Amino acid sequence: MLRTKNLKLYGLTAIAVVLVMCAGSALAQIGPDEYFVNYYSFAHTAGAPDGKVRIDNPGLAVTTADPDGTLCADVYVFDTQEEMTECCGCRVTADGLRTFSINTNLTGNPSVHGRVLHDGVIKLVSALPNPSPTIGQCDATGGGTRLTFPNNIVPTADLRAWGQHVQHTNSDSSIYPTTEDAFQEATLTTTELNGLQETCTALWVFGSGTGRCTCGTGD
Amino acid sequence: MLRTKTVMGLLLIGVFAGLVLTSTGAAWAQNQTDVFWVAYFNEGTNTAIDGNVHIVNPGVNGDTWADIYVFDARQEFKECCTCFVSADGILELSLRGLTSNPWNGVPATTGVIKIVSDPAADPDSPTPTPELRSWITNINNVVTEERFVPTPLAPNELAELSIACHTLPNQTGAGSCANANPGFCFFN
Repeated sequence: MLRTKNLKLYGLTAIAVVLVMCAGSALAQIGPDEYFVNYYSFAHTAGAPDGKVRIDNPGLAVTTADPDGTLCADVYVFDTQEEMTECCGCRVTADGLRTFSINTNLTGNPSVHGRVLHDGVIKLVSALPNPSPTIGQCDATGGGTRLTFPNNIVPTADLRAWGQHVQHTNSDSSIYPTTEDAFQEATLTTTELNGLQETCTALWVFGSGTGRCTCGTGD
Repeated sequence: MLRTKTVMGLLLIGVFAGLVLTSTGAAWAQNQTDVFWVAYFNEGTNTAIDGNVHIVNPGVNGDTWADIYVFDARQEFKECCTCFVSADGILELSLRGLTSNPWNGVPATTGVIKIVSDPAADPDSPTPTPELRSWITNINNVVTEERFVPTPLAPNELAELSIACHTLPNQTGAGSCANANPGFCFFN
């Protein structure tokens, strides 16, 4: 009887260890195809064109419950000092194409520090809708308020996005060629995801209207 | 007896599952994915025009260094350096800055650039650790841009990069690509 009890204990311990390992993995890294990065350059520069960011929803999220297959493009814009300066959540329905102006929609309303943004990083989380009564169907703050951080964004594949880059290859010239490339997928951890939502909350709650990007055109 | 067998069965399942999970992690580490990228460069013939390299640190492992290795089109090692990219940060490098100071004095206008992501500034003995994302512009008939392409990093490749960067650049500074962005790029 004692042996049986010991075996039981060992068995339960082994299962607990495995469960903890599984939980650790889930916490450490979220699924693939949900998090992407790109950069922007020469925004708000005299003589340089305005770049565009385009986001498409290929349609994987279409279900009988949601025939629109709606996904949220949660967008987080950083400056060259690694500070988040704007964020917003934008609805993209299946087969839809949303187009952002980098100068107007993504860098035109920087957070309270008010610096004009020229270069920086754009992060994109592909997620399920997380409706907010005040913000809309896509809430990049993850439902954050002055006092709480629900962090309710649920990353979900599979938005696709492209960013235009304004180049200045000849310092003696006023010509600014434009190039373009797709956003690159990166590793999304819960730490990173929570950090994005909480910093975005701070911008929306304390920014007096600044720090909020807008969703451009399309759906 | 039946209960004992059931408990033993559960124990075995638990141990087996644990081993599978553990071995998956070990295999990932050995494959060294998401730590090594390559791109070609082409500077064209107009010396007034310069391409660039942009490196973004998505932030998964905090501040990260980009160990950079430049080769010409004949597979000859030319330069190396290491550049700091803070979490959520972006670093822009001059393409000519990466290629204009070869250790043997013979610059290349076309070739290959390799990047290893490293938690320390150590291009002659990197500890590859994820992750960075990079783009390069090239001066073809028009300005084009492409991302650095991820590729598995084999131990031999890592060893060759380390040895080349440790031995070839000389004391006068030739072979260092730190001029690509002074202040953020360094040479050991």
